[in-house]
Formats: sequence, C-alpha cells, structure tokens
Amino acid sequence: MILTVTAGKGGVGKSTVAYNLAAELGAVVVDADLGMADLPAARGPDLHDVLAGRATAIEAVREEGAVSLLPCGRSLAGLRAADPAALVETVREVDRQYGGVVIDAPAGMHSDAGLPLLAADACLLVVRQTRPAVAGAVRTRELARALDTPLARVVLNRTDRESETDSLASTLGAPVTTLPESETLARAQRAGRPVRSVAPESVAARQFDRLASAVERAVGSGRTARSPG
Amino acid sequence: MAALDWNLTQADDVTLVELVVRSETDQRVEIESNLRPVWPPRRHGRPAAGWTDTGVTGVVTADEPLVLGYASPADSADPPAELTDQQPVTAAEEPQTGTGETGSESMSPRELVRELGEAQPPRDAVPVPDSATAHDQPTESTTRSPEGTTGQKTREPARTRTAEQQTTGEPARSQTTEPQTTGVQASERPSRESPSRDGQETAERPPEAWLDAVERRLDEAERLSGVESTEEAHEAVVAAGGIDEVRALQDRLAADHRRVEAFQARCGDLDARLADIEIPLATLERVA
Repeated sequence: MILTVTAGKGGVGKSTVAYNLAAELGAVVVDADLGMADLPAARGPDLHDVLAGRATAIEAVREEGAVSLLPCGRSLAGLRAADPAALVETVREVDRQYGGVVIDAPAGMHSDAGLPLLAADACLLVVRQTRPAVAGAVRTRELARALDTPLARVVLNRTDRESETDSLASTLGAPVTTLPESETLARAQRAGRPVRSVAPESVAARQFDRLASAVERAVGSGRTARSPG
Repeated sequence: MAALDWNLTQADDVTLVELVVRSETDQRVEIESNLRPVWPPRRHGRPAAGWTDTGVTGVVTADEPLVLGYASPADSADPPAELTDQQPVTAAEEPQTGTGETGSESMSPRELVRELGEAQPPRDAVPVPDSATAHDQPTESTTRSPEGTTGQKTREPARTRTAEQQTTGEPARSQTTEPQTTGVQASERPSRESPSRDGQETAERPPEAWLDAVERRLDEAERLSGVESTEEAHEAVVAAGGIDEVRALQDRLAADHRRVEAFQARCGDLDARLADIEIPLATLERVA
C-alpha cells in the first residue's frame, strides 16, 4: 500500500503523522518534501540522489531506526539535479520491496505535491482547525480528486474536540480522526522515535493505532471497489 | 484531407520550423520530421504534449489551422516534415489543446509535471562556483559593529593562511609585513571587483562570511583528499555531489587562494596604516 500524507499548508504536523503512521503500518516513510525536508537524515544516499539516478531506491532506505526511512536531500543543488517525475517509480519500487510506503508529501499545488498523490493508492489529509489550514486542505483535496487518489482519512491535529469533526468531515468528504495536543508525541518526534515505542499507552499512540486500522480498512475496501474499473 | 504547409528560418546553426496544418474536417494528424533531432517546444521544462523525438501528434479542426513550431540543429530539408497519418476525430475524443484538465487516470508522472509545473529552484538560485559569493552573503551584515568587523579582519586571515599553509611566514598583523604586502596591493583590485560582478554590495560585505565559506570549502576539500580507499573516494565524491562538483570545488579553491592572498596583503597594509595614524585632534578642534 502506498499512502500519501499531505496537507493544505505547512506546519500542521504532517511529518509527525506520516512518521507515526508508518510505524503503525510497518511501512517505509519516504520524505518527499523535496524542498523542505523535515524527517531526520544521516549520511548516505537520499531521495535527491535516487531522483537524479545516482542511487537506487532500495539503497537509499535506512533501516536502522525504529521506522525505515528514505530521507530527502537538503541541498538546492541536489534538488535542482533531481528528476521529480521519477518519484512515482521510486516509491513503487520501495513498496514492492518493503510492502508498504507512507509518503510525507509537501503542501502546495505544484507537481511536487501532485506526484506523491499520483503515486499513492490513497491519501490522508492533515488539518488544523484554522482558516488557512482548512482552506488549503480543500484545495489539496481537489488536487487529489483530479488525480483520482481517494482521500482515506482526515486527521484533525492538535485538538480533542470531537464536536468539530462533523462539519470538517462534510467539508472535506472523508471521516475525521482527531489527534490531541501531546507533549509526549512532540518529545518522541524530536527524539526521532514513534510515539508507540516511547509511550505505547498514551492517547496519541492509541489514536495512531486507530488511524492505522481505519486507513487499512479504507484502502482495502477502496482497492476492491476500484479493481473492476 | 489535411494539408501541410511550412516555413523555415535559419538562426545560427539551428533550423526553426513552422508548420501549418489545414483541414476541411477535424482530423488527428501525425507528423514526422525529416530534420533530426527534433527539439520540441517545452512546457515547464518538459516536451509539450504530443511531441516525441521524431515528430508530433495533434488535432486540426475545420475551424482553424493547427500551427506547430520546433527547432532542429540539422540543416534544412524540403520538405522539413511530412504527414504520416491522419484519422477523423471521433466525438468522444478531446481536442488536442485540452491541457486545462488535470484529471486523467492514465496521466503519467511526466504529464503531471508538465501540467502542474516543476517545483525546483531556478538555476540561478543554486550556488555554483562562480556565483557562490552571492550565496555566502549573510543577511545580518549591516547590523555588525565596525569594531567587530575590524577585529575579525585582522585575526581571520592569519588563521586561514595557516590552514592553507602559506609560505610568506610573517604574521599578518605584524608591521614588518608592510614592505612585502604593498607590492601585492595591486592584485587586490580584481578581488574587490568579483563581488560586484555578482551584483553584490562591496562596501557592506562582511569578510568573515566569506572566510567562513572558504573554510567550509576547505573542509570539504580536506575530506576529499583524505580518502584512503576506492570505496571511500567514491563515497566522498557522491557526498560532494558528483565529480563535476569536485572539479568546480577545485576551481573555486584556486580562486579562494588568490583572494585570500590579496586580502591578506590588504589587511597588512591597513594594519600598518592603523598603527601609524594619529589624528591631530587637538589641532583640528582648535581650527573647528
């Protein structure tokens, strides 16, 4: 399964959601935010190298952490040399080898936001309850629709007010999972670890568990629904 | 039945081909170029929709002719291109210009990039050896105190010189360097011109930012020169961004070397003048 975690604007917690969801799903997280990489990286080939044909996708996957990661490069020169269109084949290759990919995608309406959606079986939209975040999410949802990528789930980040989810679900056309503000989660992310390994009993860890099950259900049924067409 | 008309223009070594296809009914036409290779029109850096290495496929309607243009380094030929196939357009088909639509299940990654545009930095934004000085310029330059800058000026070159193992031997701040350095003074001028070549303000350019950049490049070069096995060498080259980057680094370091020498000469000169100067304040106060 290839799942793209996207958002209408930056800073809503997309990378945190992608990383923890990959931990739940046992998937490789691909940091495809080519211009503004967020997830930790070590030395060695990265996504820029893969997209420039200097390394294979599998070579660039780091397995040493709690979650396997294909990090992104951070240099302008690397970004310039990369062929963005190669992303689709890259994530498919990782999916074939590892049996699951979560793409941490950039926000926006350019091809760097579109390609992860094109590559994915489904997407997940991270939102915060602010006007710009919701407006951006609507635009991104439209982009996903245009590319025929089903929206599996919306994550309303940093809130526990379930009362707000109904209107958001109807605006964005997908069920909403809330993710409460959590110092444990923030601490885990800073340490480069998924929250389930730091505090398996925390609310955040439980919500990610639920989210993963919901996504698996949605993508599973989505696949059967789409296969005859 | 579609008809092909053309117009050729020669510009330097490139042939520019303009094709006009007219038809009384809507036709999907396939055109093959006799000039190879074909340099198709590009959109967001990718060949425009319908273009291949050898020609183009498009739709001509009865209402208006289909106008196409491309270039080729080949010499002009007559005809430059030929209609190789034409089929009536069925109602279900979209006109060839239907690029406004994003949605298509069969959209390829390349088509998507063409449609939405690349999100890559423009070439000019990427630091390359010749424009690296622009990249090195920090934004806080104007907030620095003159004292701090001067302090750095006299201290930093000496350190950099040690790193580069200069042979002049004398400490930069020593007054004894004056006779040596005044001779080199003329060579500082090209170095002062180089930032302005990049459109930078020469006056407010903090030397420590440039020196930091030189230091970074030296670190990188030292990493590259410290490899002991083929594998290490390969890794180092990959980490540096490829062999072209390494070559560029070499050129850049040569330029750095020249600038550091000129800079050092100037610092020595300034140091000597600073040591000698005394404003006759008392006299001036009386006159003022």
